[in-house]
Amino acid sequence: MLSAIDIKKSFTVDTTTNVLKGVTMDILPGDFTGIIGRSGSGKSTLLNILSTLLRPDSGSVVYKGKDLGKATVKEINNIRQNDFSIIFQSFHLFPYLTVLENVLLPYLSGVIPVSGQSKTKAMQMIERVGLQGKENRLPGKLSGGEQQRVSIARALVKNPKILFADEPTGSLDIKTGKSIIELLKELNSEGLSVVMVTHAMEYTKYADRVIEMKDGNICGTINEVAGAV
Amino acid sequence: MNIFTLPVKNLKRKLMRTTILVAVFTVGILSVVMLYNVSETIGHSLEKKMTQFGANVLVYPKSDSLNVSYGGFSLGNLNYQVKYLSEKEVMYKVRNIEFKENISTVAPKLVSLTKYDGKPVAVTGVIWGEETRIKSYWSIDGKMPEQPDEAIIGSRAAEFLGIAISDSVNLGNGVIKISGILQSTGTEDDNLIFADLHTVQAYTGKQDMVNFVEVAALCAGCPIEDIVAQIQAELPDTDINALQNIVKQRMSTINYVKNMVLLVSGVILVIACFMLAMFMLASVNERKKEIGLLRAVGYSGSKIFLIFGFEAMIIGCLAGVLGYIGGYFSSVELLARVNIGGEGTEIAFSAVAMFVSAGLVGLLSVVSASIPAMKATKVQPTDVFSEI
Repeated sequence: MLSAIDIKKSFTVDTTTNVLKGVTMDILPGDFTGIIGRSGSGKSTLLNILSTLLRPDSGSVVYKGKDLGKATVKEINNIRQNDFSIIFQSFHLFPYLTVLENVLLPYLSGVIPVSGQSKTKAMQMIERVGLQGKENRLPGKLSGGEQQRVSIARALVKNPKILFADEPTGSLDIKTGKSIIELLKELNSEGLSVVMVTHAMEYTKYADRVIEMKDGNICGTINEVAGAV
Repeated sequence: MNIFTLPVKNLKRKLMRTTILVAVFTVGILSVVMLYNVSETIGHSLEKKMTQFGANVLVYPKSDSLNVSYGGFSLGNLNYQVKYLSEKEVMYKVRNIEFKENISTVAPKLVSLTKYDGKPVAVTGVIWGEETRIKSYWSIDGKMPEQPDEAIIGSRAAEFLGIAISDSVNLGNGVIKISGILQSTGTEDDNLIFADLHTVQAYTGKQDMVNFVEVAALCAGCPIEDIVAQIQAELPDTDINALQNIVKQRMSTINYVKNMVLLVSGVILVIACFMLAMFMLASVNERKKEIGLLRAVGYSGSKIFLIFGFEAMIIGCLAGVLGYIGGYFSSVELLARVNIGGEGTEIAFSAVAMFVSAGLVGLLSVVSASIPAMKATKVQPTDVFSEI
């Protein structure tokens, strides 16, 4: 469904650092893929390139047969709106919007008011992540785990094909973090492809496949870890 | 809920800052509206008042024999014994030029010579209503003529001829009676007798004839050259002398006020726009993570521009409406306090003008915010998320 072929990426701050040195990998439909590695191994950069947030220096990312390096800005925006979603360690909720409005954010990009159907869908997502009754609260009135659930609901409201999760438990305590990973696993079991970057080894057991990154390269792949749990 | 929910909610969230910005912008617009209203009113008032002190266009028949000056101004070569203008034609045509709204007064004159006690004296036929409008400085001992055969005489002529109030002067086949003596004006008026134009025409057998016509034109809305050209087109057999020096002097006074207002208004607007731009720039810098997230969920650059542009437009439109209303009441109050203006110079409140102003200020705000908004469109998710 989504393939990275010989991806290279470097950043220059005073000196040039080669963050990715030729990564090739595939994301399969319905897979829960974990990407692990030490800080600076290039796992977040790889996630950002896979999710179209970053362009590689060389190599290609192919989605549904199309090289995203050759896609127009409009096509990339369409993919971000409809096919890919991403959640972050820091949730990135809008503090002045209610839970419902935050979840509806992907629908708010037009001049035409959001339809009742979209609102219903958003309410279903809020319920799905276990926040029913809290749709009119502001994010500041929610716990960290609840805020991450709001960001997951926001990511899912448009029925994406792939959910990218960058350290989704990084700002949460162990118990809350576990509940978030379990939620992601549930969503995955319903057909959603999940690509999750984490440095917490205990969460890799939920993944179907774990890719380990080291110094900008994939140093190992462990298949069907979840099956072993 | 739509894309405008974001800027509206953001402005609400930062209510204090929004209020201060709108207040500052409002004060700027208020000042501009007030200055504009006051300058327009003062301009019209000045022009009206200056018009009361003389005409600025003279219309006379083409002639080539005698140099005559009147009222301190050269009339060109006037030979009133030879050529005349038709009073009705001139009055009608001058009153109906394209810029007729700018014609304040049309004062025709017929000058006729007579003798009193063997001494020659000129009798000038005038239309009293028109004449007194351009000679508001006249002061009369006795009374202004009320009957067709009544006249007034200049102080110097009265002294020279020994004429007193109630004395009679022969003119052609009639007699005119002096009802008042014009106090010294320092002009040729002091040497003349002024009588009703139609009486002079009847007594001298020159019905519908006039020697020349004085025209007072208001020149705020058009150049005097245009008025002259239009009169000339209507009356091709006349010479027209525009007293450019007077007009230019009047207009320079008015234009000075207006130019000053324009300059001050411009400075105020530039400062207000600069403040708005600074506010928007700070807002963009503060909200980079929000912008990054919006880009990550598929918002295009133009949508980001729309969000910040709309935010600026709300501030601009609010300030435009409040500034217009405030400017209107401030200018009314200011004019009342300094006692400038008077009849016909009241400032009219216009809802249409208010909404047009609000729209223009809104547009100006969007332009002011365009650089910060453009900056916002350049923000990429990976630029702002620390974990990347």
